[in-house]
Amino acid sequence: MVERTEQPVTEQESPGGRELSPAVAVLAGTVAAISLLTGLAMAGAGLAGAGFGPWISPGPLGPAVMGAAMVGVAPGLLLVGRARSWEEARSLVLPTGVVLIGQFAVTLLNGRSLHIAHGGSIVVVLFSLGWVGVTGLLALGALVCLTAQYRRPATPYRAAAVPLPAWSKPALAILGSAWTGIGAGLLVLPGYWGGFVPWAVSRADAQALGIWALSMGVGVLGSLVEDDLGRLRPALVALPGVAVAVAVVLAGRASDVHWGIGPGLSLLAMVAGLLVTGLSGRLLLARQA
Amino acid sequence: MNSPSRARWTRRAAIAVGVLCIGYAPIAMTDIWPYAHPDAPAIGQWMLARTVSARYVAEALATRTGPYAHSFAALAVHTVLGGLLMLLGPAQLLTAVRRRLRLHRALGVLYAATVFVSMAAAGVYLARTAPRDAFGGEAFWIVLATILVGTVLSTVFGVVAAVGRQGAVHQRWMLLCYGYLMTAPLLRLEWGALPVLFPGQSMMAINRIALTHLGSVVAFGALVGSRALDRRRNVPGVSGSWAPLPVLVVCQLAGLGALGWLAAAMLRAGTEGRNQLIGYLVPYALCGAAMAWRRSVAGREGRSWAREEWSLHLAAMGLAPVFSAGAVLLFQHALGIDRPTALTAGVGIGCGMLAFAATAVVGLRLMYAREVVKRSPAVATAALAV
Repeated sequence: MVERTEQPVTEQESPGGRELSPAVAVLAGTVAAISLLTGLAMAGAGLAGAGFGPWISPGPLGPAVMGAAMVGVAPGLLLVGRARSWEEARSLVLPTGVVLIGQFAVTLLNGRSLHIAHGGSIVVVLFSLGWVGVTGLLALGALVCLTAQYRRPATPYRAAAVPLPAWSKPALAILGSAWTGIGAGLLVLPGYWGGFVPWAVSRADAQALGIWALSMGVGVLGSLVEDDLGRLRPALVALPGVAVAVAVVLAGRASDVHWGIGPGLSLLAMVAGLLVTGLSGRLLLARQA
Repeated sequence: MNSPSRARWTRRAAIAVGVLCIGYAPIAMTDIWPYAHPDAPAIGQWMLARTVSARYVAEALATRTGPYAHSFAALAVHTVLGGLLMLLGPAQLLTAVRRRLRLHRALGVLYAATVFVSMAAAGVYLARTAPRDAFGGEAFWIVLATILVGTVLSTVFGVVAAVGRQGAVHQRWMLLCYGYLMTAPLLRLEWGALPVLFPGQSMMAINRIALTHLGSVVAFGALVGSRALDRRRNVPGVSGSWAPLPVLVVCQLAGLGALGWLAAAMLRAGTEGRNQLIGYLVPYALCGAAMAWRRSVAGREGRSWAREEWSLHLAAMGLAPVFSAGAVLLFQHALGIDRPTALTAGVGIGCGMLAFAATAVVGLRLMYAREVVKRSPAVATAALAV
């Protein structure tokens, strides 16, 4: 039996701030593993032209894009365990909390369109059952872990900051507002805002995509609040990860997307924005190091 | 705790399982060929015909020719690789116990690849077979699909744990994976042995009785294996319990309530339902009693980690009938299958699913303990001193 001997985070190495709760590190690793497996199944089936999700969808793209987002965020989540303090993890953990709690809420709100309520083939019914159980447990886990996190003692964060360049802030504000706005719209008024999604979506699809968009917005706007690239490491991996994974799915099912209209081009710009934000942030951070 | 008699029993049990696996490997590899080539040797069918009766075997297998011929290539890949896995399992256990780590890693890569290919082939068979055409109908299809997913996921998590150098977590997932694989030889053994307890039943009816407890038996076996290999009294970073007594009591009470509902529903299904209830309850009660006993012994001996692991699995075991009862209602509603079939499927997947959940919780418990040690200098120092 091989056990890795972890180097403890000693007082000297600690940058101060709020101690990262072990529960948050474990939650992030768990969500990464589950997201990767579930996301690969949903995105893979979607790319093959089959709508594979927990609820009834009018086409393969809704569940596939959700799956791609899950896959894309996983590498960033795996980095959370390396954070030395909560300040270095929260730019990704808080948006993840939004997704975990929001996704379960959307699942409950759209309970009637779930395959376990509506019926269907054995595979989708079993997947739907697993989805309800796992999203419920993860939402509960997120609440417990975030509560545990904010009960940890906090000291001033002492590590030298690597501020965001001034020129990037207006662009980040626009990008974050765009994702937050479309996310809130899809979540609150899925019937109206769902019409702006450039492929066919159900109410549940629209709200679930809204949760993901909202979390992207929270992440991007959160980076403005942090104003320190050193605290954004996990998020700087997650953002381009989501962008690339979503781009692969959209390219693979390009014929299902209405590219010629405003929403299609806007989506492209917003996804490209995530990619540029993540890559430029990592580049700037590497230069500072 | 690690007394000579206990070590002797552990060794004997490991040898018995190893012999069963090695003995089953050629049966697994040859079982499918007679469906394509009638003259091909069929060791398993021959043994079963000698053990029970030729008619018992012939009646059941007559219904298999069509579905198996329809997906013969996939089944050939699945069964041949399944036989190989039966050989690789004991080899992996041996290399782990003997600490031949290089060989263990090399064989582990082969083992994981074989699991994925074999299970992909099983997935092709299931996808090409209508649930009602599975051996014994929809219930068997659901149980097989659940075992398939459980096997693949436990292998994935086992590999991830190995890559993350979390040996104890890796060991538990891989033992659970092998437990799921052991459902194949166990099912064949039961086809031969259960007619003694339930005479006059067709092989399909015997199959349905076996389904009700396959999950509980193999999951319990995997747990016993995990406990035998993990001799730590305490794990640094583990304090308190995630399954304290009140939680255990609530889980058992909920389980008893669900068991009552399941028992009443199964008894209403006539003789077959009664037989399935016996097939479900007896192993369930024995496994539950053994877990409670080992938990109590570990508590008395001050082995807090062993007590915690038994507690977590005991809580899951208590919740298994609750899950099964919910699954019965779901299968009836969402899949439109009849109550007896839904009952067989529901109880068939309950214990295996909850054992998977319990293994996940034990893994999280160990990962959490590692994070606690990593992030707390005081605990880390204490751990180094142990």
